[in-house]
Amino acid sequence: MPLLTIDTSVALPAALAAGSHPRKLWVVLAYGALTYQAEHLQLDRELLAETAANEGGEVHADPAFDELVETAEYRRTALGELLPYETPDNYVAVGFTALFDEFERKVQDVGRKIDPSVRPEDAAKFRRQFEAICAVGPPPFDPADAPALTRDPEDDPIVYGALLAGCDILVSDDRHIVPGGIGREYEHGEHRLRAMTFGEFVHGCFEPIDFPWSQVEGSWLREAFRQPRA
Amino acid sequence: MRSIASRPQLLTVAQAASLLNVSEKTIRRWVDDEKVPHIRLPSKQIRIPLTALLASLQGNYDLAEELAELDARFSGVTEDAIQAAMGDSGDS
Repeated sequence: MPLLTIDTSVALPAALAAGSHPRKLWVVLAYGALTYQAEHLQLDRELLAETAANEGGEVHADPAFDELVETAEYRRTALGELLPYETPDNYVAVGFTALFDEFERKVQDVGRKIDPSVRPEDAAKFRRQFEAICAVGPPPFDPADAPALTRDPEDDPIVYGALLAGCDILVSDDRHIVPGGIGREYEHGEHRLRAMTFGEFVHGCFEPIDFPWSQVEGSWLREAFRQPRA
Repeated sequence: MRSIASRPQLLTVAQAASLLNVSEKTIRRWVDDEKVPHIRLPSKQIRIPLTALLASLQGNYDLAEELAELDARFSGVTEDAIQAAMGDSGDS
């Protein structure tokens, strides 16, 4: 199960342009998130039960868990019917506060340059789309604790969060994270990941498995959010 | 070894609110309405599992409708236009 962090330089075109190449990656990650939820939400339920056994307290898990799993399975099936047969379902996106905060801020900043009518509530909606394609995250951390890892202090919490999460890959076209467009390793303590451009990710991770990712339609992301029939 | 992120985690109400950039009142409303799984500890504090919280988003908002609206509004936006705008901001 490769864990990915998608930084703002890739997430912005994915969010703002349904026909963009990064949006296709978001669709694949939504598929991975739904698969993860369907197969691993049980771990959350077990953690609640374990916490109650150790610390006491009252678990409120039913029917919420069953509904979440059923909904994830429904959406996964709906999306899977559209996706190419070879579509990987094991790529899982990582999300955390510093990443989502930067994304929301950049949506407003960059979005307004493209369309002056972009409002703060639009940025909040884009943020929710990003949050919803992420399934896991690192333990909460203070961005101020991020060590200097890149040439831009604003990017350090992103790389640090990805490292704390145990990510395998950080997909970024940011010149401060992937200088010269050449992939590189980052490490902190016992954590290590590879930062690579979107192009390198596609070439290195999708093409070897003959996944025809260019056939994915960005609009299919809606299937990942479809409400189950009553 | 399981990676850190794939180990289930419990969040406080404040951490959950910070993650989603919503108010703690919103998180408590979801908890009170049983819209997100949680545990109420003997201290009355609440803990929410992270993956379930993210999965619950799609039940607490109509994300499909929001996405359709945003995609329609931004249908003319190209990847090149975004890259150019990000370049102006020094982001790419």
